[in-house]
Amino acid sequence: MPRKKSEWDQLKQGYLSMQEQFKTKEEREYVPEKSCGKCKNFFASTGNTTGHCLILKVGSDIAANPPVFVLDGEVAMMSDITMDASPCKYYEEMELVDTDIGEAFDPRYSRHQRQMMK
Amino acid sequence: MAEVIAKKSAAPDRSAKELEEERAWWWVAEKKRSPRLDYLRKATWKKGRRGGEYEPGTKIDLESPQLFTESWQENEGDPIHLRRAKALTHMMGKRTIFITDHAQIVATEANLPHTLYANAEAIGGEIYNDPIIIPEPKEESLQIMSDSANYWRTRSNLLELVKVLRAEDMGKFITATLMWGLPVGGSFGYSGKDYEYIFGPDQKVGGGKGFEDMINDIQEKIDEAEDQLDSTPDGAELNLYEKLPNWESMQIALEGCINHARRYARLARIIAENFEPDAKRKEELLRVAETCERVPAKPARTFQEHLQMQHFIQTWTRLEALESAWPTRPDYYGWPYYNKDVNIDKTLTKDEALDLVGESLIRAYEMGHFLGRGGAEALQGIVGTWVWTLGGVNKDGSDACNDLTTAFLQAARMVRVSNPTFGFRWHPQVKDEVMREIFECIRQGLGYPSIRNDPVLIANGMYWHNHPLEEMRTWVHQACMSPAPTTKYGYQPARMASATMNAAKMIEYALHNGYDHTLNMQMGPKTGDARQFTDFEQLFEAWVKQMEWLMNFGVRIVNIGRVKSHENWGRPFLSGISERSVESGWDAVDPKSGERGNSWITFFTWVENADSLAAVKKLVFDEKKYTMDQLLTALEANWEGYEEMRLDFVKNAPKWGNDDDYVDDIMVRCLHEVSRHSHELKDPCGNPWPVLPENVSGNIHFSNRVHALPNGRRLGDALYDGGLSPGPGLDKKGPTAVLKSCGKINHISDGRAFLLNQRLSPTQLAGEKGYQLWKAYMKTWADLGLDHVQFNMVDDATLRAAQREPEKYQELIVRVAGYSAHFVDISRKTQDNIIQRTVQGLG
Repeated sequence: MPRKKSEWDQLKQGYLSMQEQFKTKEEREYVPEKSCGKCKNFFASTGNTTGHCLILKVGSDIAANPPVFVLDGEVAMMSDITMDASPCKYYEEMELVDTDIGEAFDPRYSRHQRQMMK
Repeated sequence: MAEVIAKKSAAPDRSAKELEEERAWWWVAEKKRSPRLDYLRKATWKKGRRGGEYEPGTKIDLESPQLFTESWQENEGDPIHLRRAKALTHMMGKRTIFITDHAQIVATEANLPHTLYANAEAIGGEIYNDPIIIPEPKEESLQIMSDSANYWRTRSNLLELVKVLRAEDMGKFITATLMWGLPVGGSFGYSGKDYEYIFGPDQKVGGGKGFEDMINDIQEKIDEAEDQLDSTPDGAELNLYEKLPNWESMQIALEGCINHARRYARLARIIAENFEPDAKRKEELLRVAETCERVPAKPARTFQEHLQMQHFIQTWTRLEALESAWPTRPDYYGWPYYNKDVNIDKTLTKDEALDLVGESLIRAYEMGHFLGRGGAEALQGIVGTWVWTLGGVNKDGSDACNDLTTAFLQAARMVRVSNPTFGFRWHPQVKDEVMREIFECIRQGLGYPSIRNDPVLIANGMYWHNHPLEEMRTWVHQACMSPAPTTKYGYQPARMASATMNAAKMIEYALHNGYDHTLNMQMGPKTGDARQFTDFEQLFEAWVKQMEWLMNFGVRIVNIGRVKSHENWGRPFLSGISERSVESGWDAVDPKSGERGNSWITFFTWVENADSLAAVKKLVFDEKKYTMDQLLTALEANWEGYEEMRLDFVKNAPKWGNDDDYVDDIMVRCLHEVSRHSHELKDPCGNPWPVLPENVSGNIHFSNRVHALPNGRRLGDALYDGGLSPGPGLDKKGPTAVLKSCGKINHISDGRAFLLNQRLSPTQLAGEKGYQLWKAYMKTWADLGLDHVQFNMVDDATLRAAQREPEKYQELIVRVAGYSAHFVDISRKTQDNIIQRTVQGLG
């Protein structure tokens, strides 16, 4: 019997496809008005654009129509600062207090990516 | 020329003596250094991030990765090592080079003075998103980077590793909460060097090898292999198919470096013969040309050639693998050349030699590659922990300090760079005159050298890694702290930053049944609902399980990362300058090359475990002032609404660093458990994984990734700064009590090394009396068998003034932890953390 895919396997698969995705320059530059990067519930990995959601778990799909929200489970949903969060009912705009990223030094309160500063 | 550059000085119009009395050491330095050195010091660009961001004007070098990728694409079918050697050589054969005015040592990591080097495969993502460093024309640069990111997105070294990691390990790793760095040690590691092969085992001029000699050594191996392949196959020949391209790649990389040096020789000669009007500078340029024609192709003959040879080696190992450390012992390996030029042949005056030493520090400071934000947060203000090793003993155990040791200490005070810094190998034979030079560096606020206990650390290396005594006596700082020999089987080709663990998670998870309240995820194993614990032993047992789990998790990732490194990346240049790789044909990072092993796990945020366990033991289980339910409820609320209770845990629970057996015994007990488990863990060379508690600035980096703790700390508060340092302001019994607490640890068998930060008063330590007080303190430190101590000696008033008017204090340096930084380059939170450290009064 092949091993059943765990929530962690799903996360890994999602992460790899995010990393391997072909993106044009325009796609890299585009940040939706409501994006995961602007949400209080986005927990950024240090530095790069990925992170995960503090509310939604693996299996969630906010890009689906209708969006799928999974709240139970042990593994968080992976996300990216530029992911369109407008369909997400858990979206909470956050105040970015660390404007020069030298004050709080907290990835939660600052988004130093160039695209987020537009 | 000298007159012109001297006029640029901005030093206040007061004498050096007056400035010394004001402790305005940065101005004193400017007054004392030569005009040439002053120019060079001011002509460098800062390569570390200021807080989290690069200085305006700093740009990414896009030329290098484009050239690298160009060759990479052309050699699609080659084995990976050969492909890397060709790409490196292509890049350095074509890339822009420059010589800074007045420089006598050349070569940089990036293509221009203000640019940062980056691996080709890293150009997408974080670099692409950076708000500062995209070069003009911006849109064009972004297009180049986007195209490059699309090419490398399926070819990256890291991605190859991620694919083989277990899904659960990978998922937890990328939260960046349990570990720090990337588990790809071969490509981002801290590489030691086989200096005994490069510079020779006998400390004599001409005793080492030039790259042409190494190429010849490799050719002999290739010829032998070809002969073997021509003979009757018996199976033993099969691995030669892998070794032959490895050897070829080593030769290509070494030839590439020789060619790179000769490009500088040609440039220097062209400038000298066609454009330089100043006779003295012309002579200097011609000497640069002669130097670069000589080294690294052939062994150095002079002190300048030796420094240049070192610099080419360090430049190339960074180009190959973005090395973030700089293990070297410049006074030991440079001494024969210095002695010959200055003392025997007298072709160089002491002042000229001092100038060259100062320049070598500046050239190192100038090195810079892009450091992602995660890395930069824990290495604020610098590019890597470049701790150069000074002092120590010779292989026969005699004192190795010499005039060049002193020259490095004096030059450091004149150029005042924050990187490299020094770690000084103290031992009982060190002369008073050397100790005075060291003290002067500390008194002048450099924060370095750190002081290392040579006898203890030699014994430590022999205990953990079975290095023979004579080899261990060659040791250098592999990164901030860990000693590693410079010998054929003792040197370590890669140490992964990701063998760095966020140790405060042990107590956090023990209290929360493995659940992480900052991530809202189950991360650690379920070790029981702490609300049901009825005695301290149950909590301690849960802590031990969480500790073992965290160490297992980290080592599992790093071990596979290390083994895959040479398959996914490869180090042809480093291999070419390593005797064991030249002999064996295996890549330097491949454990098959015969490395003895020198692994260690860095424990960030360690001391909180002892203080937190002691607080629970005393206030919950011994005094029964609170229940576990009350404590956990308060912690889950991040102490919000429980301030009075929190202050009770801060003030009335025993704290490490006060010579209080209640908490010190818990610290020792924790370390004994860790040490036991270190022996059970094995690295790919079969050696154990001892721990090394220290923080660099990880205590700030992780401050928002560690939840509230029973020592009274809230989510977001800075963690303690050292590996053994008490919490800031919590050591209330004076410096001797700190030392006594630290002395209860066995610095040989409990771990690899333990970082201790101390702050001293510059007023108290002024003059001869100050030196004598410090010397007495150091005697106690040595008698208690501690392996490390480092000092900040800048007063609060100066630090506060620098916060108010940073533009006036650009050159103020502080010791952060394991490295130094300009005070203005670290975040406000880190600055405050340094100010909060207890100023210890001696005597």
